[in-house]
Amino acid sequence: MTPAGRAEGPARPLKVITDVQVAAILASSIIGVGILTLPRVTTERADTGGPLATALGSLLTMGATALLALLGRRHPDENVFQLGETLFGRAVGKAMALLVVAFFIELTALASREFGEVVVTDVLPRTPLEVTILAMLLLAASAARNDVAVFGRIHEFYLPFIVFPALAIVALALKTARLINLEPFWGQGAAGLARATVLVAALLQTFFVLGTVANHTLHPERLLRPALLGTALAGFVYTAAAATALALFGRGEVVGLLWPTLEMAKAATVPGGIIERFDALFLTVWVTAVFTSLYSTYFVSATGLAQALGLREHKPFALLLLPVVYLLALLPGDIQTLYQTIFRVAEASLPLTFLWPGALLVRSLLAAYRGTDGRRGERWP
Amino acid sequence: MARTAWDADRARELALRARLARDDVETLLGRTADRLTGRIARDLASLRRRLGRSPDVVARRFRTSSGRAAALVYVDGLVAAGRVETQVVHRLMRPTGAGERANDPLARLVSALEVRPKSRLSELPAPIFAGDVALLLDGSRRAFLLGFRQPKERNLGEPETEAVIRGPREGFVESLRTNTSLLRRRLRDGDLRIRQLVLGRRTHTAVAVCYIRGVASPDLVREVFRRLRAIEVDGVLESGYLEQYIEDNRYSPFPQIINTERPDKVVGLLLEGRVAILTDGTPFALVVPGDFTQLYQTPEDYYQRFHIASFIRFVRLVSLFISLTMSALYVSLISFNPEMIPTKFAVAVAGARAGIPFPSAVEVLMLEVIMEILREASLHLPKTVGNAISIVGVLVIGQAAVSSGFVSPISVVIVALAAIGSFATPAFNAAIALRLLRFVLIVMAGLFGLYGTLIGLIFIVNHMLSLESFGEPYMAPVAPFRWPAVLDALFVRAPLWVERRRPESLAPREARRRRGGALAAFDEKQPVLDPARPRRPGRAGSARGRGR
Amino acid sequence: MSLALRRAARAVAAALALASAALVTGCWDRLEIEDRAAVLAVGLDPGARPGYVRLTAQIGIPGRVPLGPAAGGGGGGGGATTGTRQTVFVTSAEGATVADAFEGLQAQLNDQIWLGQLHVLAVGEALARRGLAPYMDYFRRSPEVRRTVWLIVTRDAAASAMELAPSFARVPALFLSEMMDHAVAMGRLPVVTLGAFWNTAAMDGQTPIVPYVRAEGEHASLLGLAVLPGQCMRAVVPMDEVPALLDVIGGSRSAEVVTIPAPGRPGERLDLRAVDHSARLVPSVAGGRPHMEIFVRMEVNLVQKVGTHLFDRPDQLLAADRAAEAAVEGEIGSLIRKTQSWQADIFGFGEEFRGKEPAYWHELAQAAGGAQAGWRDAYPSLSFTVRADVHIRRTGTEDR
Repeated sequence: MTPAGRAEGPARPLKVITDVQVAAILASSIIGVGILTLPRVTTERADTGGPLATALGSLLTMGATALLALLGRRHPDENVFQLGETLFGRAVGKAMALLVVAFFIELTALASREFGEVVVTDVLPRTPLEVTILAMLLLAASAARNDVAVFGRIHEFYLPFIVFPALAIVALALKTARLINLEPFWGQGAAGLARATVLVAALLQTFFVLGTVANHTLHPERLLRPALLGTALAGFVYTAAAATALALFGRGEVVGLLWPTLEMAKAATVPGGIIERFDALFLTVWVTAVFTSLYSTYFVSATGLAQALGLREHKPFALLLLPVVYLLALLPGDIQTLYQTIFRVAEASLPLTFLWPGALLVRSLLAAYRGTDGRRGERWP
Repeated sequence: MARTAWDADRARELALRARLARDDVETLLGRTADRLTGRIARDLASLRRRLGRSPDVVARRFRTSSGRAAALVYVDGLVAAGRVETQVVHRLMRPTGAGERANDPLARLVSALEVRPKSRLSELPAPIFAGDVALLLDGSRRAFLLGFRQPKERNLGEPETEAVIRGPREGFVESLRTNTSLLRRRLRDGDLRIRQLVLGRRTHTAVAVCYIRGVASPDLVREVFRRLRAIEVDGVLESGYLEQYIEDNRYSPFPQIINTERPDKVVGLLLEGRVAILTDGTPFALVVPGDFTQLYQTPEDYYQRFHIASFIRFVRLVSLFISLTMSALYVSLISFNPEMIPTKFAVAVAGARAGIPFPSAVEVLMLEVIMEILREASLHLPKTVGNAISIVGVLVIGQAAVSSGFVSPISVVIVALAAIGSFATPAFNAAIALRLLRFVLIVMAGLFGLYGTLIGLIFIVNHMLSLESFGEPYMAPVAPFRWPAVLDALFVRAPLWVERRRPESLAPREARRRRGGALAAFDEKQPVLDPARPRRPGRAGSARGRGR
Repeated sequence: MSLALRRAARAVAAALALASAALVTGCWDRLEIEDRAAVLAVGLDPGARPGYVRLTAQIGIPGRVPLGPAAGGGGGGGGATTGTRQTVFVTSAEGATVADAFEGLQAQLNDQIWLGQLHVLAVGEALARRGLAPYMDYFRRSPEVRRTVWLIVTRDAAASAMELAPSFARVPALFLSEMMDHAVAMGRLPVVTLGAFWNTAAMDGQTPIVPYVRAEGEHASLLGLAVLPGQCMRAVVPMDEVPALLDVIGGSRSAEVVTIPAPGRPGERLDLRAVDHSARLVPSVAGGRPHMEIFVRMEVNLVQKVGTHLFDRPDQLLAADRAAEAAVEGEIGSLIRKTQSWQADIFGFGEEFRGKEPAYWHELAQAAGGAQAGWRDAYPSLSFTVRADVHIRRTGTEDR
């Protein structure tokens, strides 16, 4: 508990993340800027099956989370990047780490850009996009300079401010929702449903942050439960948002709105309230949600980069990454290109976040089965 | 003639040189020169040299009844001189009575509070400056320190910075000993440990570290000592000096160490497993680790019944939030997001603002500055004049500014609300921190509206979340989340009979505060005033007996 | 390595500090509330030139609505009518499109047009009959326009609705929107705001409706609901038939008053007010033909009795229940038949079929080359049964 305890030797990573924090980190990392478009893109692909696809996509993500959690349980002292080196050798491990980092840098950039677009469109139309993006990135970068204990605390603290207002907006919108808009709940056939499900899973990839905090948990032996709970909570919020937006607007209107969730918040009113519109409440939720998920992707990028370059400390990367992310964020020319890029990048990286942990787990299990020092992974190379 | 004058000068100079040389030799020899010789004239001279020959150092020479030369050395004003005269001088000079041993003057002094023999000169100045009386006896190679301390101190009074409706009315004073006695009186437990340090190279300020053994975590106690000992400074005038040396983040506006002048609050915090640091010369005690709950909690919360206390605590939390964000929210709603205001009110606001020459951000910043000036002005004036200042503030500046169209009435309302919100914050230093941050938020709101306010707010909260005080996260029961401590910290003050555990965050040795079931003893209903109640035989019998 | 990194990080930090210092100089979006031309209501009419649109806007004038209670507000001006007229300012402009017209409007104003407080979007009947579709896109795209704005069709020119000056309302636009809000709260109107209109317009199996209002001079009144299949106004459901619609689509509380003849007493009548109602729709397809079963349950109170009919026994109430059921079933049936003749499914029966009979819906869409067109053609042939279940619960403060 003393600061002296912070400077532990290289043998053991800091053990500070509580179970609640594991769940909170996952939930608030996953709930991000994607919640705005999700009802539209799922409805575009699966028609009224959008909410179902969201739920299925969340389940898929929970499965991938479970892989990471199991890995964390088997190797409580190594993060996912270190594990890659331990199980597949330095070269492969570092290469994969760099790939993941590249993806997460792009993810951070795209999310901050999407955020900037929303702000510029809806809140501050004359403020340059560059400024709104930079403000948010600065926030994420400054937070990412902190250690993993603060990382856990920040996620934990903000989670209620994301989930409860989100659910409040859902509840308010439900007043005018029509349940028939959700029917038929399986949509227009399995093909669309499957495509939407994959897309949802692609948008929920921030769960990968678990790979970088699992080795800091206080109770790696019971990592699975909070990890699944956190992902499930995020999945629930996404599904609730998708279902409510669909029930409120109907399938025809949902696909016509760029950000249905935002419109939903704007449509929600409380009679006699001091604030007539719920934009404010939504903005609170949403800026916080975007911040926490940017913080996570940023943190993963910095940690992974430090690992790939063989450094112990991620701190300097927090600021060094900023110009890179910033420039990448400004790259897409228009909003349609932006969304096309987002979906392409997200779907292309699915193997990275879903299959790579699986491969690691299989390798780890195989090693244990063969009896060739399955526990080797617990030592630092 | 001239020659004799020259001789005299020369002799004086030689004497001075000799004395200086002797000083040097004594200093060089150290140990040997440090020893008292037993020859009183020489010892007294050395001692006075060490004490710096100040006019406030009194050396009273006298002879005991047996004719032995003696001297008392003390600092005038720190010592109860009258008691020294009657209890030491008179007794030693009085002719020896029957059965008394004439050659043992110390035996006659047993009534003095404490007698501590010292055989080294270097051990004497510090206690003498602290208020002890040194007794030198011819022929004794030891000097005796007699405790007659009587520092000038003010009476115990109600702490002005932390007034309560219900609760003890006494606060700490400037004397360390009195302060520790106030703690002892409330905590009559052998496990209350008071460890004393002397800090400040020149001020030699006594600092007492207090904790309850078996409750406070040993790691925490060790860390407190480590940080205190690392302080290298010439003077410690107030506990604020220490605070700034030992806090974790020196650049943060948030107070990371609790300071209080209430003994009951300190005892409460000690019972939670925290460590208190009392400093001589100031009524303000420090308690570590501090956390954000100090921004809105008072000891009184625990004296009131829990519903009331919870409500009051909630009010404070709200006022805290208002104090921090109200002005910024107003600015962003007026200049950036007026669509969020209900139309009727929006039309009214627009009407009130029509003709105001400044943007709302500038207007609010201006009013805030005026408010701060008024607050500071009323602070530095006598209370009677302070009232005059607030009248000037309210009437002249407020009313006239509004009616002259300089500022809009709603802005005045908002700024006043924010100010009142900050006055409702119980901790003065925390209130200042929030006021400071309020300006930051207003600027952010003026630049980016609601979005800017939020970014600023997240920045502040991130900072608070990253703070730690003595290894304890600043936002402790909330993040990291600890159930059920979070309930008490945030929403309700849990009833005392429910709250059975010490804050787990402090890693206390003895986690449970109460043993056994909740209120088992009271749960069983007893007819207290029922005349048919069976009485205890002894008392009942005697009562009957008296009745007859 | 690490040292070099840290140095680089420090350089980036310094650059950022400089950059953010530069950012602070900007204050792009600040626009004080009093510097905005707050458009409270917009009216759309056909323009003088063919194909043009005439846009009339009601703009709030800051400083004209006094702060504090209305009685004390001496600053507003002498008479009540002149007082209200001064709180808003009405002006109009013509353009080829809505955006074009707004440009024309902006040219007449010193402050920037701002739609954040828009409450009413009125469309003159002439324009509504021509079709709303081309005029909606501007409002849909603008982030300032709320979905809770009331879209209304006015019997006369929308411009006259903008000039509406109710003597007792401080802000005329608010008078109109509150009239609609309260009608919804009382259960006299379904929630048919701009957002709801857009939602319905995007549905295949439902026809949008908007309030139909007469507003001129000092008075405004709600005439009924304009029916806009394909966003073109075709017909009006008069106000006294709206309860039948509300009975079926449910949602808000209905304030319907059902008037029935007293059972067995010719010439005597009872007035019943609904306090609670719910409806259940069961779509089915038999032999390729859609059939809708409508179950309506209502709880009503007796509000008025004309005659000597007694109500002091349960069976007398039950007899009245049966009569009320027949009346409700009749009203609903006639409204459905009326809308069938317009080919306008304002009830949203089509949506029920889309949701619960997707196979039928798919077939319909295939056959007609689009679900919307398919349902428009199929709706008139929809067969239906209405089952009402009415209970009189209380008889007011009279016992008989």
